[in-house]
Amino acid sequence: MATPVFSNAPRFCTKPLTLNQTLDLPHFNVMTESSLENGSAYNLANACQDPNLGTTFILNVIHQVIRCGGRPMDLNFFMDLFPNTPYPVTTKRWFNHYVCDPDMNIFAAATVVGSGPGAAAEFQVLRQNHGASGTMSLPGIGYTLMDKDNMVSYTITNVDTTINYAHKVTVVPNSATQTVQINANTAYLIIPTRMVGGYSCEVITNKLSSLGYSQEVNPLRLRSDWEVTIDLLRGYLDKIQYAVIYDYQGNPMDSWDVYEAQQARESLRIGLNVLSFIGTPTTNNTLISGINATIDSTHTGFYGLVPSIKYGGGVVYDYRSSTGFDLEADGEPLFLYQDSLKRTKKFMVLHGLAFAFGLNNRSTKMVARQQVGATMWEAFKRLGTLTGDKWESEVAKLGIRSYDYEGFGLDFKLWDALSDRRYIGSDFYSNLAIMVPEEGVTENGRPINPIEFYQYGQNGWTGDYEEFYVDQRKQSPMCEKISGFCAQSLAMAVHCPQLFMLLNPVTDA
Amino acid sequence: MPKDFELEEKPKVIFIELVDQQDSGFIQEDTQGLPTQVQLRAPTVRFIPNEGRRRGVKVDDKGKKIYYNEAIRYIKNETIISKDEQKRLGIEPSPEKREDLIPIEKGYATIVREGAAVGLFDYIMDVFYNEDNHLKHPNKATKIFRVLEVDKQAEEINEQEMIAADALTYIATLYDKLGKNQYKYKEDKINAICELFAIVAETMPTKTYAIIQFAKKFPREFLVKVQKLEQTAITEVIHGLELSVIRFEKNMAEYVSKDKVIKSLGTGTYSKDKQIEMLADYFRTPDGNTAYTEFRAELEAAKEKALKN
Repeated sequence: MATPVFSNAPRFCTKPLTLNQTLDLPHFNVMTESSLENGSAYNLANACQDPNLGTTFILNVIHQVIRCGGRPMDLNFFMDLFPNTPYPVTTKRWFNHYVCDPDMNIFAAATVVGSGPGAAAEFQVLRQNHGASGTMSLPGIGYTLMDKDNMVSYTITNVDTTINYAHKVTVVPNSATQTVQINANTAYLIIPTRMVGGYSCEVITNKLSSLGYSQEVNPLRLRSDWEVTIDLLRGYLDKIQYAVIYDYQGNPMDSWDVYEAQQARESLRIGLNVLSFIGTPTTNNTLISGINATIDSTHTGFYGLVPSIKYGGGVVYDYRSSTGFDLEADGEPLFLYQDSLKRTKKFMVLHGLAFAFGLNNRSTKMVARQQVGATMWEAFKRLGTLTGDKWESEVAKLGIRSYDYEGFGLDFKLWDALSDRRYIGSDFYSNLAIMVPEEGVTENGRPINPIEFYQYGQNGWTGDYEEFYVDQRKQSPMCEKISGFCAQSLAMAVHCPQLFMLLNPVTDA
Repeated sequence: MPKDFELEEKPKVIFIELVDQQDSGFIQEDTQGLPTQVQLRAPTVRFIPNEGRRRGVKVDDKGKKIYYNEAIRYIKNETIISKDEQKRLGIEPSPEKREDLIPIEKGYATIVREGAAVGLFDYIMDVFYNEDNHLKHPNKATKIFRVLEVDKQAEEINEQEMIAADALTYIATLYDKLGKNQYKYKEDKINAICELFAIVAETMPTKTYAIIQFAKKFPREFLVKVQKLEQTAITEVIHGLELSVIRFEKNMAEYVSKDKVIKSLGTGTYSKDKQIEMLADYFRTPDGNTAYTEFRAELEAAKEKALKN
């Protein structure tokens, strides 16, 4: 039997109410009855002439009944995966600024053709290429507009900014034999500098920076309360449980604790982890202010990992979970897309188990599809030679833990909780994969964690984690109970969500 | 030449949007708090699968239709999307499968049914990932996008506007402006229209105003009924003239076979078309109702006589 987390030695008599309600089953009560004055344990003890038998019976059975078998739920599945020290923020309001890749190209709203070789022509800049409420755009007088693919250059001779979001640019081809041809849906590069002669004077022009998007990070605060009444007259329900802790030398030590307190801590972990993974801020005013308000306008919460990628400018790749993700057919287009924007090439792929199965099956077929020889690719391995089994009936199927191609590197890590249906897992999450950038997430050139937790406020008063208990017997009205609560304030941000990729499972019928 | 390869003068255009869009908190810097605030609500790019299923139908030996979920696949530059058909014709995806990907940037995409995108257009319309197909053919496929038929909507709006304009143009023929605040109303027509649409008003200006309001509210219904009203009476008058039931003697409409005047059309000089229109207008008024009944009886009798001969 594994070492129990809790001992059963009754040093403090408490009555866990929720336990009573949950386990108030006739069968269970008989099995765990500890009273020697009545009940089945008394009969058993009397029959055997052994007054301790009832107690012995409890000690032998209780762990097998209360402590269920199976693997415990990974309640802290998210925060354990990104175990960074929360970054201290000294205000209640702070922002992050992303999706601000500069783009020096502009598009024309419609195709324009010049009247003849060397003649000027005017075109309108596409609405999306304006900034500052439509008053600014990249082109400036004297700048060069390059038709990159055809290696044709034009000089900008006028920019009419009269109408917001509809700036008109006049260009003259640098070549006397060239006719202006500005096509819609084609990117034209702006060179933001002037060609001048041997002597020139100043012409100051505004340059447009890429504005990007800002997100306010709002914290949330979770709290869980508990209460345990004390009743000295009951049998098994009266036992307080003692958590076993270990000192620095590894010696087990008793420390008193109650199930409710532990449960409160667990419920806090559930809230923090699930909301960090898939939570979104509260925007319903009835919950923020008014009679039914539960929070305030500061603590509305933050966008979790998946919503940040999905709605905040990440990259989403829908793949059919029935066929699995293919590193070549599905992966390479993603690599090319990343490369076109010079983004991250190294990823940690966090995924559910079903994703791994689909990935392995598709990968097994990749080599056969390329027809470079079946013997070059091991999908299974016979282990007979290792184990001494002459029939070689022991077989292992080989999977993929990492993938490397043209500088792109993927490290696969199974995220076990995604397939735990008892908690966060489901078919959908089991097939989901999140590609977290291993590089490229930087702040002023300094690498930062792609997912960051924050602790806000001055001198830790808002608390990273707090826990308090009160012995109610020592204060009016002196009820025989112990109560307490635990609370944690937290904020989280997904840095540079545009560098993350979500491999999103879809069904096709 | 298959139809798909013909150049269409006006190719169909659809505008699609991702179903799954939500606030992200990312506000474009210079737009915060403005009516034109821009917030990211979708991925930078979302690649949707180029393979899926649609509702297919086969006919068995007994002519019974069998519906099934048919596998379809978009291959760039190809117009055939049925996987079975592609297999039969030897059409295979490019070895570089990225060619066939369908990217939707920032939640929206426009697809024109021409060139390399004919197959893409058909795929987008048919595939079960299209939210609209969930209503037509119940299925459990992931709803990824919905189609906003911009062209169709715009055309519908245009058509509605044009019909309303036509209706108002017609109403303008019901009166003539003689001078400042001076109008001459075609009372017969106005009264007939009021009766047709059960519009109650006291004076000609208020009747006209009521007709305009009705026409603005129900322009299509107004035009259809008015035209029918006009055409029925006019057709019958023309028919009566052809069968020599009635005739015009100067401005006098009268029966041929019996010495009876139907209506004096006034003192002006009118063309025959105008006389026909004026008599038809009279027939549609309450005053002309009895005459109209008598005329139609005479017309029916003449028709029977003509048939017998």
